[in-house]
Amino acid sequence: MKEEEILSAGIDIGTSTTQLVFSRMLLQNTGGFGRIPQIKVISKDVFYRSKVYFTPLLSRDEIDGEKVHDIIDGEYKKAGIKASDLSTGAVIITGESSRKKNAEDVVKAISGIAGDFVVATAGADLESVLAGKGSGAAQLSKDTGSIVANLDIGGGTSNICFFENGHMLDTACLDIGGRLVQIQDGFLTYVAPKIRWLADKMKLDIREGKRAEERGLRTLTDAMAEILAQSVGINGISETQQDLLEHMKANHLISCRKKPEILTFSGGVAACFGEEEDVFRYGDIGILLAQAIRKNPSFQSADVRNARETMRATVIGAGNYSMDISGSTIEYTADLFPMKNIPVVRPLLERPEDIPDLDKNIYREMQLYMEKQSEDRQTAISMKGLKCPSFKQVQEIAEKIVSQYEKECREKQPLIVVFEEDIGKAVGQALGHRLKGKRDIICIDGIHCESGDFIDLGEPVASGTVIPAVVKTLIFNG
Amino acid sequence: MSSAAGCLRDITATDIMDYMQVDHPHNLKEMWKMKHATPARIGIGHCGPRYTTEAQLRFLASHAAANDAVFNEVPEEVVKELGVFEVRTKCSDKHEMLLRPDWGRIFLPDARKKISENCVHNPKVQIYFGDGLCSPSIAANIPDLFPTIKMGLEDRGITVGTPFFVRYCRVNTARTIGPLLGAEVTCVLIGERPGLLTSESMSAYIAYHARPDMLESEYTVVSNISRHGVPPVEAAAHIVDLITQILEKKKSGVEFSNAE
Repeated sequence: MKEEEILSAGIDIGTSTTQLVFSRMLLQNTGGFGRIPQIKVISKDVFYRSKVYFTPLLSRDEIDGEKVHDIIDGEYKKAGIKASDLSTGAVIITGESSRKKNAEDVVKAISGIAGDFVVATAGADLESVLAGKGSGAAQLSKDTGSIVANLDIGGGTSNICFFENGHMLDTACLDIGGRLVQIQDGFLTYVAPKIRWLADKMKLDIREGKRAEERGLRTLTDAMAEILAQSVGINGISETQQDLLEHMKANHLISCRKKPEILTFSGGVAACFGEEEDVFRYGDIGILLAQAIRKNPSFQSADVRNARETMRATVIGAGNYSMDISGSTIEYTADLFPMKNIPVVRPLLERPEDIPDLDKNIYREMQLYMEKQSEDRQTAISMKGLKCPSFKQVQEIAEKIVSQYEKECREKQPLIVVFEEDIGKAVGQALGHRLKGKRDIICIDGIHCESGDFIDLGEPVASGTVIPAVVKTLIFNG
Repeated sequence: MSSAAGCLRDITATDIMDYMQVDHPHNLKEMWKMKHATPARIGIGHCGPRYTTEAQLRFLASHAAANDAVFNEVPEEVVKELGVFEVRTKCSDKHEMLLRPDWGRIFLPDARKKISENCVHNPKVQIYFGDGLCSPSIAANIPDLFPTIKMGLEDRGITVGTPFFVRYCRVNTARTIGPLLGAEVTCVLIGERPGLLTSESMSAYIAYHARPDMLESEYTVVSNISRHGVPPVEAAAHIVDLITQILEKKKSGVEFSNAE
């Protein structure tokens, strides 16, 4: 195999905007002569960027699925891309939109035209990570050796992600965004509940139907900017501020104790950083919030760098960074792909001492999952695995997995095993030795997923040597 | 350098990737990142234009380990534990093996007879082990490598011949072994010339219809098998696939790769 090109789509349906990108990824065997194949993504290139559309809404809490469908259909046609051309990609419904009641239906409505592998996810954590990768913050942390925090400030939420050496350290999401207060003809037409609470707390009279007064709104956006500054922990946090933070969080705050050394900003509000005049031009407080962030003393004293992408950080993150590829020595006995939304259970297997209890641990993890979900579904067993196991250890691991799986799982249900360490093919063959074709086996490595995650497995690429995988943390949790 | 017990400190106890001797690094964190990215001897400090004593000793220690890997014999107990019989090539010791590469590929009549009498004939695949230029690679890899290959092949209905060990062995013994035992595929698992990083790596040389007049380019090679490189069990599983495909395509080496 020389090089293989695969195409990926990223679609972001956010609180205020909907966007789409297509990227091209080049896969190459970097193993060299006499080496075991090592298929790697050697380049990623965004070759098509859609217009930025306003997200069509039926009402404040309902997305107009049909119109979204039309936008996406139109952009696919304009780019000359068919769903069948795509190997991977992600549709994400982000920000406040993910709490819209019909988010799941919208994803269903567009999955037909978007592509079979294109996945639907909307976890705030994942969104923070994708925005941070798309903005270039992850790469910056690798290049500089510093801890970088990216703040993706959109219409409905601010998604924060800390990176160290290119890896995610922690995420947070706050209900702070440019469209949480909306203005039409000089009057406030919408004030989000949490912003109402914040305004009350500050003794500001900001309610729907009131006249839009710049001074009061500036006091509000200054406070919002300060909350953002506090949330990344540039300065110490007082007790009253802690209370504000707790109230404004969407899911959780940053809990890691490390402090960011560099900050980057992305999202629609960051794209307004240069704008000075006609502050209500977009009918919201986006420009005011952008100015408040720039003037905020805490942010002024910090090392703030330009993001590589601002407006499109999340959608590029979705298009370019949602997919992993498996290791190149893996085993699968049937082409059952694509497989979507497979829940992950994770028994402990990190050291040789963990092998004797592996069957009990698999049993316990599966029971826990079934109790929680009260259903008997296909699961994937994820383990770290051993670095360089012996023949005997591989056989023992396979024996434990098979004995437990045979006892607990329906006939014909395929056995899916996901390792981090490079032992997928060896264990896969050892499983095959025991199952003798009674069940199909998918045994891959090079992928990390945690208990409670969901995993999508795409159709094999690079002459069938690797499998694209998307690991999703908590779907539709807001 | 001596410890309280009066023994010399083992300088190789610290892995080279954890050994850094830059006096005043501008950015220590980045320096460690580079150190942990490569086992090459970077950041080992210097004294004027020369190595420091410890860096020099480390270099000599690694070099000595590589030398030992080449010159040491595979102990008889190791062969016994593998449960296989042993033959040797025309060479009578390691020095001869190094001086006469041509002798390292041929067998005297006694050795040929022993192989012929002790092995199943006409297997689909004949696998055997050779010390090559790295004796420790046998004990380090074969116990995990061979059973995994054998089980994987047999699960696919491919017969595997009787394994054995060849002392003073070069890759091209395969040219004799293949026709002697009538194997469709011959696979020799042989010690690789050691470097300063690992002295227990092994390669698999695989040939379809090995024969005296075959070309070097007819070998398919899997190299760098060791706990520092590709784990033996994972390499073995890959070799199972390779041999299966070689049997299907009825060719190996460059022609096989080009047919992919």
